[in-house]
Amino acid sequence: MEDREKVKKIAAYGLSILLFTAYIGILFNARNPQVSLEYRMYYIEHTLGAWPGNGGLLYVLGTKEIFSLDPREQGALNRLVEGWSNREESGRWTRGNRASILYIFPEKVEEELVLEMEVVQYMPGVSAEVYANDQWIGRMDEETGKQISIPIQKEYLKTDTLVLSFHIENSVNLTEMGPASDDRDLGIMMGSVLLDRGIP
Amino acid sequence: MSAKMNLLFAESQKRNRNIIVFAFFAVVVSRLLFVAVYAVFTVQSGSEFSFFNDLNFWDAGWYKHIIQNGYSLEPFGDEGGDAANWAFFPLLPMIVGFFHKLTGLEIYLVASILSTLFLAALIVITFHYIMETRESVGEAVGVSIVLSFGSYSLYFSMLYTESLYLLLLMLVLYFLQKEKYLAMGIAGALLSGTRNTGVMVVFAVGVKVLADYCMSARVQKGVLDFIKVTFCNWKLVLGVCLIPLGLFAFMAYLGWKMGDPLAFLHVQVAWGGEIGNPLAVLWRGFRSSSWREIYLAVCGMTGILIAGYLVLQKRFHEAVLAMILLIIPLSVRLQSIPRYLIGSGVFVLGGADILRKLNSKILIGLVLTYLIVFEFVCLWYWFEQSTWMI
Repeated sequence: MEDREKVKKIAAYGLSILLFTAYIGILFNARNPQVSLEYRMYYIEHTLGAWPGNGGLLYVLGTKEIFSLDPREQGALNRLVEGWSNREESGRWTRGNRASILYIFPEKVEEELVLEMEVVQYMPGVSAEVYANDQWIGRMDEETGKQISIPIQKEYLKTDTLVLSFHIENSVNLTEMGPASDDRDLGIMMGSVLLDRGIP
Repeated sequence: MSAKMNLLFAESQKRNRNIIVFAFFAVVVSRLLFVAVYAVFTVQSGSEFSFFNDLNFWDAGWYKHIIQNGYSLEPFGDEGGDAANWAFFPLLPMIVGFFHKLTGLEIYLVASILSTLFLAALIVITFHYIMETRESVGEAVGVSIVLSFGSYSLYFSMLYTESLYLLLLMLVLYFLQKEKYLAMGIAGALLSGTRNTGVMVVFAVGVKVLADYCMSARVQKGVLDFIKVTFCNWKLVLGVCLIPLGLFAFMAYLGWKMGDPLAFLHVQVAWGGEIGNPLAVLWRGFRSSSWREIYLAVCGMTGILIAGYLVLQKRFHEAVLAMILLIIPLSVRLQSIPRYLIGSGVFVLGGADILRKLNSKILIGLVLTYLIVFEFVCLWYWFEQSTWMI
């Protein structure tokens, strides 16, 4: 009788240790989820404004992405990471001092690219420094015009990921210009963005 | 009346039978009233009579999808396409799915029958728990009436986890009270596989074990003795280790299926809301211009007061459970707070304790009348699919 109790006790402690170890293992596994980049950014890091779907951030070189209410806008809508206002009839304003766009390529890009942008409007006095993966690649303002083409050196494209950042200078709050209900800090209204292979 | 009740449920061979008969009677009568309200609703609104379909919507749709298709690999619901059924725990859809396949009956019909049976079992176990902990037939009967006829009781008869969750929670508390730790662990494992907050009952167990030790004669021997006594009780150790099993089994499944064991947590972003200060959420509710928000804030405040009363009554484990189960939803939003209050059991127990202490038949009558009448309002809103009831 005593032996049976002892066996029960040993089995119970053994099972408890087994369960506890399994819980620790599952928690450890939870620290490094095996998920898509889109999942990680949207659900875990909360760095995407909308759920693009698994693989939804993939960008095919040469695709012109439209920022307006055009139904073709969906691609651009997904990859806007930070600093963009709601889309409007003809484009989308940058909001605040920094706006970013994220591109994921199907494979590593090992050649120079060209960034082509159509600007709809600059707020008065606004300019932007453009960065590719934190490397300065150019500047845009009223002087550079509304059709802009900026080369991106292949040295800046070391992985399959490209983050385009616009560092906005002198963004304008409409309330500073007079009575207005819109209190956003606006910079540049972007019409479209295209990335393509550079001329060899 | 009270003497008759005491006689009916007095310690005797017939006591268990009487409690079961009482539970089934209360459940059947209250559910017949549901059907009557629905019949009036269909006449008023001119809609087709389809009781089980009109009773089961919102989250019920998610559970139905799990029963029919299992857990999906990709999010698919809501406006942003970012909601997913991983947010919903598996035990209820597993049980309903099993009986749906076994009987061939429609999912919502099976779910409503099963949930109602869980409610009957819940009333039986709650009755026994109150008799164990409060020794008050009147309170046991009152709580049973609230669970079957009271406000938000409608959630106990649909494809929602409320009745299964509360049944398992009360089983954990009952077995904990009786020091049947293995049974407690098994009920706890099922509980943590029913809803994400289920695992929190483990804290109530810890507090109860500690409180019992502190009230015992051994308390002078100190912390090391407490650890020794606790860890030498193999049934308690195994029981506690069993409680998170449901949650971790689901996590392991999610990890295997889609690579993220915490997917059930991460997908909450689809329903919006950031985790914040629960008191700030409550304060915002009181300051809101919306009557609904103010009402929800009052419910939240009532929950806090009840939890405080449980502390004063030295029912520490119930108080801890109440606070945890209130703070978790309150940290995000006020929505669904009344449902959580009724569906967490301990608030109903604490509220009943307060009324028993006040010992005013008029007040008890008023509160019960309010809760029963408001249930009809809730039912009406529910059939109208009003967002008040989310």
